[in-house]
Amino acid sequence: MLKLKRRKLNYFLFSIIFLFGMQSGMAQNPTDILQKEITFEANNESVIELLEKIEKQTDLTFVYSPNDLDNSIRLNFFKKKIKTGDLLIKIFEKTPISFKANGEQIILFKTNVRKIGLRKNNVIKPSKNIVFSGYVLDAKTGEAMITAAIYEKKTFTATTTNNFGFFSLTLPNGSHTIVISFVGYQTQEINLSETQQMQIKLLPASNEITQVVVSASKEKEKENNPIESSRMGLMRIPAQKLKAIPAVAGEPDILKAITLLPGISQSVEGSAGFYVRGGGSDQNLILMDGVPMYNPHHLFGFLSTFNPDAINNIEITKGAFPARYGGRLSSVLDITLNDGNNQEWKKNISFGLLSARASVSGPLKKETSSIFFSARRTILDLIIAPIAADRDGKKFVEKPSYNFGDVNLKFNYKLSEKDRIYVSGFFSRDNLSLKINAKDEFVGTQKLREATGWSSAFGSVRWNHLFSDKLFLNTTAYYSNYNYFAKRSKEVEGSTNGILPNSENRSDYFSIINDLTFKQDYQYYLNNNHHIRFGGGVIFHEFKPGVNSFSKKIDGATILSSTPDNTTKATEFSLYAEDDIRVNDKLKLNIGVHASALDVQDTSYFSVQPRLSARYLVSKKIALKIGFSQMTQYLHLLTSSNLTKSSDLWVPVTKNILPPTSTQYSIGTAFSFGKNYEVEIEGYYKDMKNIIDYKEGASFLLTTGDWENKVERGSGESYGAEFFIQKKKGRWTGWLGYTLSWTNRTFENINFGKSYPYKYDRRHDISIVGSYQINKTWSMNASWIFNSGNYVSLSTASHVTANYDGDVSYGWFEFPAVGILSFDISAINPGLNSNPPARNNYKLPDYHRLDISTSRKKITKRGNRSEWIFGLTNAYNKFNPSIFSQSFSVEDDGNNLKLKSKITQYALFPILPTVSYSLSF
Amino acid sequence: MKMIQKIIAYTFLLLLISSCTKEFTFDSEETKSKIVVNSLVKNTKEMEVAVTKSFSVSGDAELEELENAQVAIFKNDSFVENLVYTKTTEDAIGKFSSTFIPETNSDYRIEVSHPDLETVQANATLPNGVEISDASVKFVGGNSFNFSFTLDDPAEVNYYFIKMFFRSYILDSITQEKKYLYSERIEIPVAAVPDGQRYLDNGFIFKDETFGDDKATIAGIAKYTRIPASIGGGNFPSLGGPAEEAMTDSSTLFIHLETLSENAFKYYKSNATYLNLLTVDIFGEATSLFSNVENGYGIFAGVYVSEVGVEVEE
Repeated sequence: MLKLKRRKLNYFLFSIIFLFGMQSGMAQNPTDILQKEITFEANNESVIELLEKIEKQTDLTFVYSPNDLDNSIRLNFFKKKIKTGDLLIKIFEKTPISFKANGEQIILFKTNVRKIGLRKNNVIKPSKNIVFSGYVLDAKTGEAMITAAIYEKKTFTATTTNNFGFFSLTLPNGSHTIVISFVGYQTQEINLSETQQMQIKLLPASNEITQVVVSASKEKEKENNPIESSRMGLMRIPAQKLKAIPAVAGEPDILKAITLLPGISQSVEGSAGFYVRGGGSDQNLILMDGVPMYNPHHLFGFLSTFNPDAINNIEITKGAFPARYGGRLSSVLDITLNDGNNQEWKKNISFGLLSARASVSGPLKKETSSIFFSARRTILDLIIAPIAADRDGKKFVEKPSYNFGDVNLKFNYKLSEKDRIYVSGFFSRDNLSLKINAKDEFVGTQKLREATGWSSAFGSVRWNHLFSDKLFLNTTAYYSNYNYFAKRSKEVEGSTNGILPNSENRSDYFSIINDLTFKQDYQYYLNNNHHIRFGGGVIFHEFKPGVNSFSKKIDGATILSSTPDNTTKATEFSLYAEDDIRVNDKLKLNIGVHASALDVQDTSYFSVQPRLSARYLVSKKIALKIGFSQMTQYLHLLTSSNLTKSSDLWVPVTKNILPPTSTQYSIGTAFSFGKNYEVEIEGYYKDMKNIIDYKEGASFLLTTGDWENKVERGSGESYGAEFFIQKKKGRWTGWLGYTLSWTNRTFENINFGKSYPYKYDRRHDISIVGSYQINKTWSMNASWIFNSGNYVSLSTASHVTANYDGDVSYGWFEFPAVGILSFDISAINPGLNSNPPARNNYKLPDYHRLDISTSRKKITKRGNRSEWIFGLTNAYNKFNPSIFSQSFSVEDDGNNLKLKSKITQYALFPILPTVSYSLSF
Repeated sequence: MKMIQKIIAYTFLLLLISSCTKEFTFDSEETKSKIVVNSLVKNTKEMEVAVTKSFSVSGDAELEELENAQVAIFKNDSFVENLVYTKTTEDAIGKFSSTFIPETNSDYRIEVSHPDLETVQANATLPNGVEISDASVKFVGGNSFNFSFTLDDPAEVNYYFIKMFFRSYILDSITQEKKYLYSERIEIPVAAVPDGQRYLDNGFIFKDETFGDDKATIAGIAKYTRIPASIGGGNFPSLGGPAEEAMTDSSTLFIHLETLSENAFKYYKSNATYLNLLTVDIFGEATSLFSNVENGYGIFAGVYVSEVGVEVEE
């Protein structure tokens, strides 16, 4: 009886292999895999535990729907050698499960035919459709694969996975071949004839070259293909691509990488922020696993706080925003972090010139729970410490220091087949400090401490729930904190002769934002013509912008203490609904509406923002697109036109400061040519209202409570065209981006009411990024960026001025050109004027820079992966100034005093060799 | 080990700093000299125009008067006269003066040409004056006093500059006559002039937006502070004299009102912002000085001056 069964199953098994194995393009004969002998034993173990055991002993990966397996059955096997195929037959001999081999994957499926239908009046009617849903995961790590393409092979009916790897595809009754693909992974095909929910595990391609060559063809990437997608202004950078882009000082960085895309401008070197289609840096919503980040920068903007080892996926939207996004005018940068490897423990360490980082990831319970932890710290302070400290014996010690660091922690747990929970934590901090200890026999001991910096932190909990194979819910709750601080303290321990008493003086400046948020996002896959998203949320904001706190103690007694309270609390609500509609094969729409409200200072604001984008397929290779979106945001970043960090202040909308709004129109086309080239061209016009800027002459000192009196309300507009050509596959990959744009600002009381160019009104912006895979070990990468110079308010001439009596006077000392960061001046004479003749009157020289790097990847004898990256930042040593200073001197030639003035420009990077090393084990 | 660490650190820093600074040079077009015209056209005196040349902010700077410039005045598009250059020993800069006193509601145009520079021009209109009425001043103790007066604000948009002052004097030791030296600073409270902006000598510039089309009453408690000329007090320290011995004549308060043309208002306002920047926060937000001189710099704008003396009640 047993033999007979085995023969039947063997026969069935070989039938499966014969039917499906040949078309799957396997590298290995499936019969060989199943004939392979292993030594196996089991002691009262469940089916899933047995499968995991087999996976460990072999190269096999099982693909199955956990719902199909009866995990309550416990099995025993005495230790013996057995063929893999026979073992599987034994495991499933009393179940309706059968299997087929596909390369190194074994696909498990139910063999009984289940009738799916709706029961009505006791009559079972067969359903017209079947639904294929589930998750797509990396077979090696168990990480969710975001934007993986799932499509029916004949009809090209397609969908993509969401940020949690979930998908749902509705198909008509019948047999279908489903293809699952993702760039850099082996494509998988599954035959389907009934409603199924599965976990699909994709294997990475065997090496870098095949990774890009064997990855899905253009047709197979349907939903990710810009020709197919109805969305506009959307760009993605895969995590592995991010690391291949040469970066400043050899540190891969996401915020620098995205500025290589068209429509996105970098700030000046050494300052933070990026600028999208003429919007300010505060108009970018930067989401880290769904949590907004206010100042995601290290080292005054050199690096972002996003550890490249922690990133899974990057997506930036510049226009035609889907309704699910809101809260900023110009862009949404959506960064998804790794969940953690749920298959095996993996560690990674990396060293660069600026920082060292480490990460560890692994399963707490295989297939069920995993954890990811990464940490990074600057090593710059350790390098410069020996020369930074100034010592004068024991009497005087001066020790400046700069350090930054960040930590990511993420834990996820599969509560059931329908529920998964994610818990995340993040902390980053930058700290520039100065410690001075001075000892004097008369004055006593003095300790001076100064520190400037900023920190960001959040904790979040997310819960995924599947109501059905068509309805997906993500619930998020998080608390975040952003703190900018400048602290100074002076402690005096009086001398023994009592000249000075013991005293302690403290002055703290800080700017704090606390957010507490709860939100829900639903995705309903109604059918293949409607993918509906809806949801809403509430954010409780607490702003403490620019608080100056003082305290003074003498002999332990507090004689002065002041901490003004300028807290502004605001509650922000949002609701949205959108539908991805496939009208027919040619026309696809994304229609939605985002509604938001803010309750602040007994004032309520309400905004309804319609969104629309449409794609019309002219041919298989050419698509036309249009987009329209209105956006509202409820906070501002006040930034001086001539200074950076210390004057940057996040402030909320108040009863006097209205919410800024924008309307953006875009039109474009996407097409492909050759085998591997994709082209996107977009034009846009954006109108911005109620944006604010500092008044002319506004002081940045003592800002507590009075910032509203220092700002002006105005408008802005930007328009331009973007060109993007990309090659994703082959030994050569990369892109070329070009942006032609204009952007300006108009304020009634700035620049005498005349429009003026925005600081980052860059007429031309070109970026070229290329990678060449030389062989399995070596690759070369290069990026070149060119952009028209920034606009600055710069004095070009001095002249005498008249007082109200019409009299003119002058002296030989004058105020420096405004718009300059620092100066050296000994006196001031208001009779001479050196002011800029207009706001942003001067265009600085054009900026361009080439960065190159080469990478050597190797697998060590122990099977660990190591990588050396050698590079040159600013390879041809272009002098790109980012800071200016003006100095004056006076010379007496015997008859007259002559004023001499000099403007010096500083560039931050000469040619800079870089090296970094990473090891994964 | 420490030595190696130091060598690495110095090498790293050297690499960063080397070739990182450079002197900035403007395009020559940006900094080429232009004619600078400064003149406030007033109803109280002949037209006086200071004509100088601007100089680059980078490189050597030398202020140069354009004594041989040709300064032509047109009234309602008709040529009136060429102004004549004069300079006294007390003048820091000489002036081109007219032989006439400007009239209200007349359009004046100035054209200044110089062989080496581009010709510039500007237009100015002298606005109608506004009367001050119902003025009263009464001391309330110390250096403080109540004040109140009314402006007959016309219907159209108007712009003003106002300041108040007492006069100081010294007594001639022989004749015992009063010799007036300079005015005392009087601080007008902010609340007295809604949306006003402080300008020179504790004055205020303001628009009549808050007054509507009606009479406007400006009132409040002001105080005066006597600042010796030796540390910069008063308007005319250059007149000299034993300033510390000066007496304040607090029997009469002078109210100085200027009705400004729009261009004069813009100039005052931008200059006030600039001067405030100098004294409050030199790193503050950038500001520009208004100019209505085509192809050049400076200001040519009309200002109607009226001044009344009000007897102070004790």
